[in-house]
This record gives sequence, C-alpha cells and structure tokens, in this order.
Amino acid sequence: MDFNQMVLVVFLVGSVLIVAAMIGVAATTRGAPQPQSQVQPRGYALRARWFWALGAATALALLISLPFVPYPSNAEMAGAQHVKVTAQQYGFALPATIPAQTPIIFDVTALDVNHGFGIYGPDNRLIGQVQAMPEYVNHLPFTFSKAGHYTVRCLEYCGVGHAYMQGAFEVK
Amino acid sequence: MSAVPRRTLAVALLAAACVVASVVPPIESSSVRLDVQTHHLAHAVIIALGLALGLVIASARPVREERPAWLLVAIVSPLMAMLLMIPATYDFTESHPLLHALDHLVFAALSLLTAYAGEQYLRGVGWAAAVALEMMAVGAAFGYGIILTR
Amino acid sequence: MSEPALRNDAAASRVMWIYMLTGVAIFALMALLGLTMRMEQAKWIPLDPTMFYAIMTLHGAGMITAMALCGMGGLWYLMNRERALSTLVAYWAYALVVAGVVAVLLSVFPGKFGAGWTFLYPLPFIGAAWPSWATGLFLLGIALVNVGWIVWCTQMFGCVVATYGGIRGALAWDLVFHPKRFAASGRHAPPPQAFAALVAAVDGLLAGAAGMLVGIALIVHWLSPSIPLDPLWAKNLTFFFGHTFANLTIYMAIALVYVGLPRYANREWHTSQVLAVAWWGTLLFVALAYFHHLYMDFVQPRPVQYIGEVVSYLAAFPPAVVTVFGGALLIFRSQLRWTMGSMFMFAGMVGWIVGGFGAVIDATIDINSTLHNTLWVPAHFHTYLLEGVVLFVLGWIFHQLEERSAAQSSLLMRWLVALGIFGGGAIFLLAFYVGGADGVPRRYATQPPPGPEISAWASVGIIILLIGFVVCLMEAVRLARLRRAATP
Ligand code: HEM
Ligand SMILES: [Cu+2]
Repeated sequence: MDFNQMVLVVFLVGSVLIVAAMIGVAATTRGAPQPQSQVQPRGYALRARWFWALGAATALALLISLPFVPYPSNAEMAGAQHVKVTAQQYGFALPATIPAQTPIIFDVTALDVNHGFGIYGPDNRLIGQVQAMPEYVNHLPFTFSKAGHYTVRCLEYCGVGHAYMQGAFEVK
Repeated sequence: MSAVPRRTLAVALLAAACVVASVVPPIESSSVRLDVQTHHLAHAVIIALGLALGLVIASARPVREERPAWLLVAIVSPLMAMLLMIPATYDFTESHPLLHALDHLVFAALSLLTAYAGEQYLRGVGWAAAVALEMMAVGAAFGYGIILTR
Repeated sequence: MSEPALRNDAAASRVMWIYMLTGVAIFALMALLGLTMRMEQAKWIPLDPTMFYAIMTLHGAGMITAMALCGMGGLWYLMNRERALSTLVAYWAYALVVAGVVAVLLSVFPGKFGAGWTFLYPLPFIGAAWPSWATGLFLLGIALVNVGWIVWCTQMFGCVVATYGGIRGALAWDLVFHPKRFAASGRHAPPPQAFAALVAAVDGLLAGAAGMLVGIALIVHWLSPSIPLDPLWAKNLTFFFGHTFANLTIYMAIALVYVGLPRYANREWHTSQVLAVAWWGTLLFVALAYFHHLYMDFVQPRPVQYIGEVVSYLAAFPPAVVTVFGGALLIFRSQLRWTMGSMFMFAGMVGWIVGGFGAVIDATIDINSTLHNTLWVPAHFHTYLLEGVVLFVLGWIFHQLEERSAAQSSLLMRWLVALGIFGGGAIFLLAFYVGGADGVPRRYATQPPPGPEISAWASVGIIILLIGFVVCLMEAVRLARLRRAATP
C-alpha cells in the first residue's frame, strides 16, 4: 500500500466514525427526552475536552507534517544536478534520461499558460509535482531511488489538449 | 475647539492635500518617468486622500436608514476609478502634464465619492467601500501592467 | 424589532423564494452537466474535448453561483427579520447576478468558452479553442456576478453594523470581553445567523474587491493584449476571489440551520461567547485559507505556504467544535421531529464535517504534493457542497413548505430520498476519492486508467442520486400544492 492509499484508508475510517457518531446522536431522539437545560452542561463539558483533544491532534499533525514540505533549501539548490523542464501546450521539453540515486532539481517553467509537472513512477503512481508557470521558474527537488520508465502528466488545466499532455524519461 | 470647526479644518486640509498631490507632481516633475509600480502606488496615495476626505465630509450627518440610490454611486465610483487606472495610458499621460493632473483629480473625486456615497447609503458602509478601493489600488501595483518575476 | 419584520414579511419571502428557486433551477441544470461529464469520462458517451471543457466551465461557475444565490436569498430573509431591509437593493443584486449567469451561459453555449470557471490567466487568451468574444463575454459575466455579490455584501454589512452597534457590536465584542457589563446594559447579542451575515459580508467584500481587481485587469488585457499581467499575481487574486466566494456559500447556508433546526428540536440555539469567538476565527480563517491553492507554486513566498497549512487546519475548529457539535448537542435527547427538513439539515452537517476532513488532509503541504489537482479535490469539495450546502438549502425549503402546509412526508418517502441522495451521493463521492488516491488527474476529458472504470461507478451513483432529487422535487411540489390549498 503506498502513501496515498494509506491516506485514503485514514480518510475512510475517519469518515465512517464521524457518520457513526452522528447517527448515534440522531438515535437519541428516539429515547426518553431530556430538557435542554439538563443536556447542555454535560455537552459543554464534553465540548471542552473535544476542543483540547482536537487541538492536540492538530498541533501534532502540524509538527509532523510541516518539516516535510517539498520546497528546496538553499543547500539543496546548490548541491543538486539541475534539470530544465519547459512546458508548452501540449507537451514537455525535458531530457530523456535522468540519473538514479542523484539529488536532482527540476527547474520548471512554461512558455504559454500555466501547466503542471506531475511525475508518475514506473508503477504509474503519482509521486510528486510542481506548477509550471510562465515568467517564473519553480524548483522541484527529487532523488530517484528506482530505475525505470517515468511518465510526466500535465496537472494544471491548460486547454483542450490538457488530458493528452504527456512526457517521459528514463531513470538509469 | 468644538467638533464642527475641527471637521471643517480637516476637510480643508485634506482637500488641499488631494489637489496638491494630484496636480503638483505631474506638472513639477513632468520630465520624470515613473515605473508602472511606483505610478500605481502614487495613485493609491491620491485615492487614500480622496477616501479620507469623503469620510470626513460624510461624518457630519450619519445616515441611519438605507438610501439605496447612494449604494449605486458607492459601487460604480470605485469601479470607474479602477477602470481608469490603465497602465498602458501611463506613458501617454506622463508626457501630457495637464491631462495627467486632470486624470489624478478624477481619481481623487471618484474616491471621495466612493466613501461619501457609502456613508450616505448607510453609516459604516463608506468605510468598507474605502478599504475595498484602497486595497484594489495598492494591489494593482504588484502585477497589473508589470511582471515581478521572483 | 419584530414590528417592521411582520409588516414586510410577504415581500421578504418573495425575495427569498425568487433567489432560492433560481438557485435550485440552476443547480438542476448543472447537475445534468455533471452527469454528462462523468459519463464521458466513463466512455459511455462521446464528447468533443472542447465541449467537455466548456461544460466543465459552466458547471463550476453555475453551481457556485447557484449555491451563492440560495445562501444570499436565505440569509437576506433571516436578516430582514432583524431589521427591515430594502427589497430594491435585494432585487438589484439578484438582477446583476442573473445577468452575469446569462452572459456566462452564452459564452459557453454557443461560445464554447472553456478555460475553467477559475479563468486562470493567461489561459483565457492563449491557444483558445473558442472565439475571442466568448472570452470577453465570460469575463463580463463573472464581473456582473461579482458586482451583484458586492451589492448584496454591502447591504448585509450595512445591516449588521447598523443593527448591532457598529462592528464591535456585530462581533459581540462586549459579550465576550465584558460579559457582566454587557448583561447589565440590557443589550441583546446578535443572533447566530447575524454572525454568518457579518462574515459573509466582510470576507465577501474582501474577495469581491480582489475579484474586481483581477477581473478589470483581465478585461483590459482582453481589450488591449499588450498590457502584461503577472501570472502569480493573477493566480493569487483569482483564488482569493474564487475560493472565498465558494467557501462562503457554506457559511451563509449554515445560518438556515441555526434558525431551522431549533424549531424541529423545540430547543434554542442562542449566541454564546464561544459561538462568537468561533465566528471570529471563521472571519479570519476564510480570508486566509486560499493560500492552500498555491502550495505547488514553489515561487510563492515561503511563509505564506506555512500560514496556508496552519490556517486551513484551524478553519476546521469553528464547525467541528462549535457549529456542528452545537447542532448535535441541540438534538441530543430532544424530541426532534424527523421530517424531510430536519433530515436534510442534520445530514448536511455530516457532509460538511466529512468533506472538511478530506479538505484538511489535502491542505497538508506534503500530502498535497500527490493529491493536488487529482480527483481528490473535486471529491472533498463536492462532499461539503453537494452533501452539505445543497442539503442545508433543501432543508430550509422543506422547512418552509412543511410549516406552511402543516403537512409532512411519509417515512417511506424519507427513506427513498435518503437512499437516493445520500446513498447515490456516497457512491459518486467515493469514486472521486478513490480516483484521487490513485493519482487520476482532475479536469481530464480522457482519463488514464483506472479513471474510466471508476467514472462508470460514479455515473451509476449519480443516476441514483438524481433519481433521489427527482423524487424529492415531486414531494416538494406536493407540499407546495397543499400549502396553496390551505391558504385561500
Ligand atoms: C449534482 C451532482 C453533481 C455532479 C454529478 C457533479 C459532477 C462534477 C464533475 C464530473 C466534475 C468534473 C471533475 C473533474 O475535474 O474531472 C465537477 C466539477 C466541479 N463541480 Fe460538480 N457535480 C455535482 C454537484 C456540484 C455542486 C453542488 C457544486 C457546487 C456547489 C459543484 C461544483 C463543481 C465545481 C466548482 C467543479 C470544478 C470545475 C472545474 O474544475 O473547473 N458540483 N462536478
Ligand atoms: Cu495541462
């Protein structure tokens, strides 16, 4: 199971729990009713705990995720091999082969409209992306561990040929 | 000092500032060519003065019931002001000082009208309209007619 | 305050119904376009890509505008009970938005404009498969919708500021910071729906100004292409406008639940300090969350990217801890009457939270690297728009119909509608999520595998969903007829 499929499972499990909790609440309307004045204080106490629990979970998620941003540091920019990628309606100009196990920086730009540079691995799974914007160069750091055939797909809507806009390279 | 003369004084000062800021730079420094960004920002200063003037004038008589006709003025005026801020005309106006000064006075008048009409529609609305127009005027300086490649 | 409201009620409900019925009618047409897109992606029907993208553009712009119209009409009606509002201004806003919708419609049929409802510069102008007039007409249409929106926001802003004692009063500042003094003063805090009006008005005006700025720049560029625009600048403004406008439809529609659900539960939903502070958070978060649309623009200033993630996470707090939690508490062990209206309102809150969860996941920068512009994006926003906002609106419409007809729908009818709209909807949405996790790009007329197969499942779900909506419509017509019979 790759990362995205794990994300999907987490989402689905979470969603089922949310739906189940809400159905549980809805079901209480069938039981013996209680006045609002009696329900509220207990509810507010629970809400306070829920607030702190959600706050802790959020803080944790931020602490874990923020160090993993895909943006290159200055050191990475200096130490990597730069690969120029130019997107244009409806194709990519980029080298045919890229070395494996080497820190790469893709210098990505576009000549006409906004495009997206999405890298799909040999198993056809999306493993990284960056926008290709005219007038700007976006630097995407990447180190390929596996050799093989990689596909590039456009990931920003760029006109009627968008779905056919592809490129490819070999990692050796 | 009572409130009324203080307002009159503020009106006088702001009106003078509006006229000076609109008229003096184009005529005094007609040989200077500004880049588009600075030119936009200069307009934003004039617009800020016009907005302040409109708010001060309107503060004399707070409006407590909706007066719909003024709402139209408060929305059309900032639209007109932004439509007139076309970067392609800057080169042309810079070589025609009088026209340029007139152009600025129109900005000042439209922003005065924006804030004043907002307050005349319903108290407090002029402030919202003023913030919106000023944001647009400043925002234009960062990409309208120029490319700020990073 | 209730005197003028009572006097004005017939005229006010006319405003509400005109807005809402227009919104629902647009929704119905756009839903058919949605089905068309999915069936094309499933390869069930052939469609020229130019046509696919024209339909996609219209669907996006039309749906968001439809939901905005419903929210605008509903919130206007609720705020009019707080303070009599000028119906003239409400009709101006309506006329502008509808004129904009007509212009957008004409730009797409027959103009075939297809740069997406996000009209991202410079796509409307470069390599276009449609005539230049269609670009101009589309931009004009969006500008008209925006001006109508600004008119509405301005009226709401004026209303809350005039009614509750300035911005400070509308924020319930004194209630939060000087509760004793506030209680002693004998003033009333704004009701919950007034916070929705304040947030929609303030963030709506900020977004409207951004939209107006970029809209004028685009129209000027269309007239005079030699004037350059900065693509990153245009993208920031476009998404600030588009994201905020779409996001606010939820916060407008939830006001209907604040008022409607307590009536079913026979309990009160009043303004507390916590509720006020939650809305302050929303006011701030909605204005800053759009940064998450630009995570994959690595040239965007770095701090803004981090702010985007933090704010997107925090945006979940007001609904999760206050509004939906409060809604659940409201009905907990109550004698809630389960009708079409209460069912929709309650289910809408579930959809809001589930979709919000999907959104928060995608708003994580690291995860966005592999979910951005995949089907995960339409997955999460269709969850809280289709199974959130749409349900809030339907809930309110049924609430009105049930109150006036003093009639209800049968249990069988409610089950049928629930199975269709929630069951069919779940299949439709699940297909989007699965496709997204598999890296299938969004906005592809022809998808790589496993896209087409998933699209087929989605199409089945949509057909079930649409059957649910048709049954629901028939039931609404039945209740509306009863109402007419009851009022001679
Ligand atoms: C009634 C059922 C609906 C169906 C079957 C449907 C279907 C679709 C489909 C197939 C797409 C294109 C996905 C892609 O990128 O490949 C789409 C996009 C979209 N939908 Fe819906 N949708 C529905 C309801 C809604 C609602 C209620 C809203 C908003 C209130 C909405 C707003 C949008 C937006 C904004 C887009 C993005 C368009 C773009 O990428 O430019 N949809 N929808
Ligand atoms: Cu593309």
